[in-house]
Amino acid sequence: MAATAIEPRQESAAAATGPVLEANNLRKSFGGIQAVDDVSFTLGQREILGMVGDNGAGKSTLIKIITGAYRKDSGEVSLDGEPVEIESTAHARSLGMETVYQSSGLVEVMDAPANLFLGREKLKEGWLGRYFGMIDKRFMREETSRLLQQLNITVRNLAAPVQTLSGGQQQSVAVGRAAYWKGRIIILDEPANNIGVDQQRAVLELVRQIRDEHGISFIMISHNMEHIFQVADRVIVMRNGRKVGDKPIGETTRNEVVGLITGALA
Amino acid sequence: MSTAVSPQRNGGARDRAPEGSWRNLLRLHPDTGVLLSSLAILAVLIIVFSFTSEQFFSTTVLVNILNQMAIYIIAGVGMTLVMTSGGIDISIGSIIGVTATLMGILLIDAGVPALLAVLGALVVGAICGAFNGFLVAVVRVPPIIVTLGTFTLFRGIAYMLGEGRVYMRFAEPLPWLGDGRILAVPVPVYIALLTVIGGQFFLTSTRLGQRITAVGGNEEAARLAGIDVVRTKFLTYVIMGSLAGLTTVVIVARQDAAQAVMGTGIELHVIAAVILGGTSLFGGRGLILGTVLGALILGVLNTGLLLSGVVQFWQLVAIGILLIVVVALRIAREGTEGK
Repeated sequence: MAATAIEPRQESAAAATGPVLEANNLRKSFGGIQAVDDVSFTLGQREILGMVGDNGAGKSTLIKIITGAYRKDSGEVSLDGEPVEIESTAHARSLGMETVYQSSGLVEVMDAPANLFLGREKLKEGWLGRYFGMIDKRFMREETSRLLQQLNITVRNLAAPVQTLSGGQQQSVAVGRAAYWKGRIIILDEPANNIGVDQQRAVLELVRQIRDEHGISFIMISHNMEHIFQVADRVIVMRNGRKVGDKPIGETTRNEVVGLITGALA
Repeated sequence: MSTAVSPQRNGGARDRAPEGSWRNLLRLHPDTGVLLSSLAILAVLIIVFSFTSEQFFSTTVLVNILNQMAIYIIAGVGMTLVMTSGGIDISIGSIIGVTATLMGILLIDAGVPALLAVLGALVVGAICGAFNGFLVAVVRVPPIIVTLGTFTLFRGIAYMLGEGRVYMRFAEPLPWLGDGRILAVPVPVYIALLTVIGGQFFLTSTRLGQRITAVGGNEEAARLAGIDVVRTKFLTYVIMGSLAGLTTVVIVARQDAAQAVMGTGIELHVIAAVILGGTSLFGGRGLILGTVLGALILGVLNTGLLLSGVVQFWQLVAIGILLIVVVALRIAREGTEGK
């Protein structure tokens, strides 16, 4: 691998303008309940798309369709203008979609390098790696150190379990991991839940930094209106399985979004 | 924008540890404290018994303890892996019963060479482990239930195979594996040493070893990261089974006999050694070297009390108390350190 932890994305001229992700008329029902009802949306290059809605509004189902956890009943998903049939979460990942979960998805008792390379361990060159599955710890540690430095995450002891880090740092490591693995689209499920206010700001700052420096697009699910208005470029509002709002952040207000969520403005 | 990392490392607080320095290793590695505490217990016991018994502190006695503990260490390496994955295997004594009987049949009834009988024990041990692993990983029955079932099941199979016979007096070189010596050190100690080196390397430095730790630490996170949890767990029990087979080889060689009751009760000592060594009961942290220290603590305690003239009942009481106190102290300490 090259010397930098996160490499700048090489954008082909053709794909530079169109949306990275386009979803058209997605539908999914569970036993007669329309969890996602004819939803279409786009995600632009370098865009941070906020997604809001009450519990049960269909946000999670929509995201799970996009990331391959659920199969859609009908509709179409395109990446860079190419229609794709996403079959599994592994498939979604191979297409460059990384998901950061609410509970961060880290193994708390393992150290940061082990977590960064979780499930994608780097094997040593040569026979030790090939026949004995020996992992290249030095490489993993150096890459982690570089990534954390790049993202301004200070970890005093790389060999310490990540549970000794603050909640915000853990979440930052999880976001950094998604960026490290060349996610072109990173989906954040309540990224700043359950952590301190200062740390929430740090995580959001990190999201913006990764977008600015690496051209990665984000979909951010959040209950927190402040967070959405702090970093998102656009917000879509879900209600009862339908998309009821889709506005650039500059053209809407907190009150309007809250109204759409609750149905007061429908 | 360029993302090349600028080499502005000077003065930074992070990442100051130069590779491999002893002090840093001590300070930085989270397992070091636990290992040192086990080592301290061991040292205290050795010092105490050196005063309470005249014979205790001698090469002969200490080598003897190592020799006696070899089987607990070999099985303990496997148990450490299983417990690191978040499981447990209480059927190992019965796997030893099955494989011991099988070795007797192969060596005496079938007259195969020793090497083949040893291989047979390892393979059949692995098959028993695979049965456990299938039920735990694929059928998803809790490990304690599965291995409680196979604890009885395998022992029953051992009795059926053995029909009450005792197989004895094997041809060389098998007995040599039990009582031979190289440079005054018994062969079982070497077998245990190789197992420990292999186990330590496997757990800390290979992909599968790391995945076992990950699965035990946070199964959901491991799955989301694309780790095949079923395969990982399954293989853990297979490895445990084959190490139980290796334990059998040492037991059979040492006693120069094989029968179906062999290995009865061994699981309790093995689990005690693993826990004394600091491996987490809940998975995610396994210390192979800790298990070695745990086994040695048990061995030193047993032999030391015996040589000090303490009645055997008190030995049992002492081991029980030590186990509970050590685990209670560790849990209390981890609690204060914060999650």
